[in-house]
Amino acid sequence: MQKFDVVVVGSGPGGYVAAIKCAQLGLNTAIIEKEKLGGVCLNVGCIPSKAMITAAHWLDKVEHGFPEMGIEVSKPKIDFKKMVAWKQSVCDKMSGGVSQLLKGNKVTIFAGTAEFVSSTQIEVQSTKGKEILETKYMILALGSRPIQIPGFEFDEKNIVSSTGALDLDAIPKRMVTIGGGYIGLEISSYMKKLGTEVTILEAADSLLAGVADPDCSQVVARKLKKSGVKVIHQAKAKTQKKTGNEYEITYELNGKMETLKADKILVTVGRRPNGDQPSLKKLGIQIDERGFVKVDAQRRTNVKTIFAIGDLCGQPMLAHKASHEGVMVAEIIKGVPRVFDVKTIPAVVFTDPEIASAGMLESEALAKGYKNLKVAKFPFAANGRAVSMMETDGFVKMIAAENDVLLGVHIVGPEASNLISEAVLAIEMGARLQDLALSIHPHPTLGETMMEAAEATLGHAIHIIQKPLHTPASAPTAVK
Amino acid sequence: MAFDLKLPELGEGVTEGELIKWLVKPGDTVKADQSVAEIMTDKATVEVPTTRSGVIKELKFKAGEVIKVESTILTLEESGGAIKSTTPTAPAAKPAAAPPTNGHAFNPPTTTVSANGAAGGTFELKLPELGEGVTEGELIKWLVKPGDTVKPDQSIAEIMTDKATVEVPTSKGGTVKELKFKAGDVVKVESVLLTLSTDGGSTAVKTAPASQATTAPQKVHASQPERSMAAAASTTAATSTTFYPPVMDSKVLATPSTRRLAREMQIDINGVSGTGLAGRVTREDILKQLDSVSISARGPATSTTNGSISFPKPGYSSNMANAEERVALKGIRKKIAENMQMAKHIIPHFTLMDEVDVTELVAFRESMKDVAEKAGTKITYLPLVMKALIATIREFPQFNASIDDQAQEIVYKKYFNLGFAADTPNGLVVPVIKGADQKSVLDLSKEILDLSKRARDNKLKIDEMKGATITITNIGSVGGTYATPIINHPEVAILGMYKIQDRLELTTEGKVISKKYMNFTITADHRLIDGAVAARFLKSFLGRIQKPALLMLDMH
Repeated sequence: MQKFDVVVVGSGPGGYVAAIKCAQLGLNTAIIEKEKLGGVCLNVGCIPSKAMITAAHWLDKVEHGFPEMGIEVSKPKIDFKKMVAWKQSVCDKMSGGVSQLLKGNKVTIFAGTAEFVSSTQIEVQSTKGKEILETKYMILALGSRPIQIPGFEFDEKNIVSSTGALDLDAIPKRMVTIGGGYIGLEISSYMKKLGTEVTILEAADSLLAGVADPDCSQVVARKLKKSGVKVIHQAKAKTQKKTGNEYEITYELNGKMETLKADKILVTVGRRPNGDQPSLKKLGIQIDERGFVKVDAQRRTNVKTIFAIGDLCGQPMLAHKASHEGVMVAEIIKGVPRVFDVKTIPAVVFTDPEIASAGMLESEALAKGYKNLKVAKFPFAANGRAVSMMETDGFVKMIAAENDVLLGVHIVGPEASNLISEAVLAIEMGARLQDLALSIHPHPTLGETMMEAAEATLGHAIHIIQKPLHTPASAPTAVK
Repeated sequence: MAFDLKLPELGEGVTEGELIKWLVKPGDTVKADQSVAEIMTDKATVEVPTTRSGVIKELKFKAGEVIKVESTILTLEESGGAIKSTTPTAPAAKPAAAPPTNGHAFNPPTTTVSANGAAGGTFELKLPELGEGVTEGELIKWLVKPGDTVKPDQSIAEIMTDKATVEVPTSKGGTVKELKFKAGDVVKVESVLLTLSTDGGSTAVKTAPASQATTAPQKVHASQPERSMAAAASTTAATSTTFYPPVMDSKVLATPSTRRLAREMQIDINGVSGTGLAGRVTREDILKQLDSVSISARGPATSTTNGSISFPKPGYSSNMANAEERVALKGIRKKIAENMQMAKHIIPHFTLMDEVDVTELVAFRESMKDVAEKAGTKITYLPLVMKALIATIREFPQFNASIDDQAQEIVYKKYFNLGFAADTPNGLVVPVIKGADQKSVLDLSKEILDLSKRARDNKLKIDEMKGATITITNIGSVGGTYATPIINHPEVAILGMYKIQDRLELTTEGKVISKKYMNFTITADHRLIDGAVAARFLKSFLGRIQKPALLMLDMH
C-alpha cells in the first residue's frame, strides 16, 4: 500500500493544477487518471474545439475575406483527415506537457480507474492490477460529461456529443444540433464554415439564453443566420429514425410535430457532473440530486479531509474556475486560510464573433440593488484595428454603478476572449470607469475599445457621436 | 577569535528594542552570561548577557538607538575557539511558539466512525451546525414523540437560534426511542437531540464517517456559504472550518491581494469600512486592523484576541508648537496607552466604594512586625489584603474570570495569580504573584518586596508581568480618598485600597475613642458582574478586613 499526503482524482484543469500545487507545497501527492492526462479540456473539449475553430476561421477568411483584400487564390481544398490529425497533435502536445509538469514536480501518476474504499483509501484499477492508496487528504476532480437525452443515445459516430463531433472522420453534409448553448454554437459555427449544412434546434426563445448578455447573443445569432445556419427556436427534439445513412429527426414546434433530415446529430444540451460514481458513496460525502458534490466556500466537503473542485462541485462548469480552485485547495490543505473569494468568473464563447463577459449582467446588477446603472456600448466598427482586420461585428458593453465602479463588461467581437482579461482585473481591483478611461491603451489595437467603452459609459467617447449625458450647469452670473 | 554578539529575541512579537545603556566598554573583559547592555522593549527593560567570554572590541550602537533583533550589537575577541556567531538565548522570555493560525495545520483530523452507525442499532441524532457562528439554539418544540416512526429528512424539531427558527431533519429513518431535551432547553450544536432505533439496512448505515448526523437544516441565511454540517465524528477543534464569507456576494471593494491579506489576518473584510476611493478597502485599512489586533495579541498570556477593533487616531496640532515638546510614544508608555485604551473600550466598568474599620487589622499587623523581622522581611498591608481577597473570590468565582469574546464563553479560573500595580520611574507596571493562594503571608511579603524592587529597577522578567487573574491597586500609599481604576483586561475586576485615616468615634457609652478607617473600591466588568453581586462581594471582603481573625477560617 502506498501512502500519500494528497491523492487527486481526475487530471483535468482542476485536478492536474491542484496536484502540481500540492507537490510544490511539499506534499507527497498522487494523481489518478483513467483516460488521458488533461481531462476533457485538453483532449475532447476546450483545446481541440479551438483548433478546429481556428482552422475553419482561416478557411472562411480565404474564401470570404481574401478577394476583398485583393488576394486571389484558387478554391481551397480541405484535407479533413489531416485537419483532424493536426487537431490531435495540438491535444497531444498539451497532454504531454501536463505529464511532464506532473513528473517534474514529483507527482506520482496512476493511470487507472479510482474506486473509493473509505475517506482515506482509494483502490486504483489499472492494466497492472489493483493497488490501494492510503491518503490523508483527497481532492476530487471528477469533472462532468455530456447529458444524454432519451431517444438520442450517443454512439459517437452519428449521434454525437461534443466528444464525437470533434473526432468525425469526414465532414458531414447535413447536421442537426440539438441545443443552442455555447458548445452547440461553437461546433455548429465551425462545421458550417467547413461546409456542413447546419440546423440548430433550440428550446428557448433565444440563443445562449440566461448565459450571455442578450445584446451580445443577438450579434452572434445574426451572423449565424447570415452564414446560413438555420436556427429553430422553441423546438423540442422528440425522436429520430435512421433510414440508410440518413436520420429523420422529429421535433415539436408550437404543438405541432415537424421533421427534418440530417446525416449527423449533435446533442449539446448541457453537461452533468460525475458525482454519480457508485463508490463515491463510501466516502460519506454529500452529493445533491443533480450529482454535484456539496462543498463550502473552501471547496471542502462535509468530510473535512475531502475536497471537490471543478465541474464536480458546481456551476459554472469552466476550466479556469477549476484551476483556481485547485490552487486554492492545495493551499488550504497546507494550512493557508483561503476561500473561493473572487468577484467574477469570466466566461468566453468561441462563436463567430466571440462573446466574453466578466461581472454582472444588467439584470443581475439591478437584482443586487444597484440603481441608476450607467450602461453604454462602443462598437468595433469605430475601431481602426477591427476595421483593418475585417472584423467589425460587435461591441464592448460596460455596466457601472452610480459611483462609476465597474460592475460588468460584455464583449462580442474579434478577440473578445483575449480582451476580457482586462475587464476581470478591473473588476477584481474595484476599478472605476475613469481608471480604464485614463489608462493609455496602445493604438491601433482592439484593446482601445475597452478605454473607449469606459469613456462612452461616462458619456464622452471620442470615436462615436454621443448625446451628452449631463449638460454642464451654466456658469453663475454675477448679481449686481 | 572575533565573536559577534547578536541581539537575542526579547519576547513574543518583540522585534526591536531601544539601547538604554552599555554595561561594558571596549577593552573590558567579560565572562559568559555577564550582562552587557540594557535594552528597553515595549514590554520591559531587559539586560542582555553575552554568551561568550572575551575582551570587548567594539560596541556597534549608541545609547538611544533602536536595535532590531538579530543585529550584531558588539564584537569581542575570544580567548580561543572557532569563529562562530550565535544568538544567545533570550534573557527574559523564551521565544514563544508561533501563534496558531486559523488555518488547518497539516495534520488531518481524525474522522472516527461513530459506533452508533452499526446496523440495526441505535442512532444518535446530533444537532447539526445551524449557521455560521451559531453554537446553540433553543428547542421550541418537538415534531415527533417516542415511538414515532420517522423517515430520513423528516423534520423532528424546531430550533430557534438568534438568527432564525429552523426545522431540524433526521438523516436516518427509524423509531424514535428517546428525546434528550425538553422544549425550552438550550441545546448546543453537536449535542445528541434524540436517539432512534434504526431498522437494519446495514448498507445505508455503513456509509462511514460524518454522514450520520449530517442533516442539513433549513437555510438559515441565504448568502451563507454552505458549511459542513455537524459531522458527527470529526473533531472540530483540529479542523475549524470557520471563515469569513467570500466577497462575491457583498459589495465590498478591495483588490484580490488585499482580500487575501485580510483572510490571512483573520479579518472579515466585509466588515471593514474602506477609506479608499469609492469606499475601497485598502491594504492600509487592513493593516490598521492589525495594529488593534496586536494590542491584545501581545497582551497577557490569557488575553483573548478580538479581530476587529480599530481606534481612531486623531492628530494634535496647535499654534503653540514652539512652547511644546514632542517625545515619541514608545516603550512601556506606549504599551500602557494601548492596554488602557483596549480595556476601556472593551469593558463596561463600574466602581463600588466603601470604607471599613481597620483598627484590628492595624493592630494585627503591628503584632506581626517582630516575627516578620526575624524572618528577614517586613509585612505591609498588601499581603493581608491579598489573603482577604483570595478568600472572597473563592466565594465569588466570577471575579477571578475572563470573557473570551471570540468564543463567547466565560472562563472561570481555578488558580489565583494576583497582580499588583507598582509605580515605577518608567510608569505603571503590574508584577504578578503566581499561585498566591498557596503562599504564606510571609512568603507573599517577601515576593512583593522583591518584585517591587525589581519593578523600580526595571529588572522584571516578562513572565513576571503576565497571567494575573485579578489585580490590586494600592494608590493609597501615595494618597487619595477614592479612585476609579481601569481593569487590566482580560481580567474582570480590580481592587483598590486607599489611605488609612484616623477617626474619632463616639461610643454608645458616650466615650470618644480613636479608630482607624480605610477605603476600598472594587471595579468590575459589568458584562459579567452585576452591581448587587459586587456589593455583596465588597461586603464580604470588608468583613474579612475588619476582622482579620476571620482569615483563620479560610485557612486550610
